Amino acid sequence: MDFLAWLQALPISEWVQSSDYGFPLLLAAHSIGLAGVVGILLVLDLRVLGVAQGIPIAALSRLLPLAWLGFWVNALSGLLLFMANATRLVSNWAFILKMSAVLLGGIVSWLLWRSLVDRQGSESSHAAGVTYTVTRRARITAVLSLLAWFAAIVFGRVIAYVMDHAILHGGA
Amino acid sequence: MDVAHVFAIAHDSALGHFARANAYVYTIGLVIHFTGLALLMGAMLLIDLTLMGLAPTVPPAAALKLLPFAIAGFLLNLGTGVMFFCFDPERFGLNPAFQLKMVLLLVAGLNALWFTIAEHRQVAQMPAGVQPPIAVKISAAISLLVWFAVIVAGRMIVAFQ
Repeated sequence: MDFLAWLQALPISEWVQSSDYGFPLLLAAHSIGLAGVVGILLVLDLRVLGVAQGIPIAALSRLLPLAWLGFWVNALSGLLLFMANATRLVSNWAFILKMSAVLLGGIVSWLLWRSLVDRQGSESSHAAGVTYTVTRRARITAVLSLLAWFAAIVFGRVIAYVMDHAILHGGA
Repeated sequence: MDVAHVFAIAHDSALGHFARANAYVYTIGLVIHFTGLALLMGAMLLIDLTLMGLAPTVPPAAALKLLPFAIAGFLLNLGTGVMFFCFDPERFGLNPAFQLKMVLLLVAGLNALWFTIAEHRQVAQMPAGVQPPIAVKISAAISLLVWFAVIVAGRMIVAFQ
């Protein structure tokens, strides 16, 4: 707890708390990162589940760096958001569930990605016309990934409500 | 009919009453709004990057198959967004960030309309690897920029309250 209090007392944490623009800017960055990481993984999951089959799965791999960029934008903005309220967030059940959902989503999406890359071979072989058949296991993984990222969004929204009922309609 | 009158109508609408019925409606609405955001932006990223010529292995017709998902995400956000507005029309209507967001949405809409009318049919027939016309590339770049700006403006609403 001392560590969390120290974290929360750092100048950057205090700036986030006290500045008019700290929270809105970080939350804007967090939403953009969300669009990148969850948006792209959502498209990948939907593709695995049979949507837009004309899109080569190898082509989606080009978007993976963007999903990672979104992830790191959110890891960094999320860390700063956490530091500004560390002592309260650590026992916030919505925050804990969100972190669990993100961890699950990350593992599941990584497993899905691995299974796709393994079965598909190199991108050049795909370009040469190798077709990829989605396995049942990949489909289940895609569903789990969808559920995990949806849960991350849900619990992320709930964090503010658990923290402070006074801002129930603040839209923060 | 002045603005205050429009606000009053929105406030007293069935949707306004529904939004204020209990604390969970607005919260669940926000969850749906963010899920719609992910759906819309995920599909738009792939579509726009393809139309910008940055994903040469994706046939434009295949990328455009994601349009229904972008539209579904947009409709989710339109529905929940209108509900938020009716929750407290004055708070949103007079908020500069909200006003900017609406202008940006208009730009995004007009840009999408132009693409649909002028280019969609032609682009959907292009094979993978063929560079789209420069006008399509610019339109796609504007689309991505404006949608990200919509997100930022939306998040800034709370900063102006």
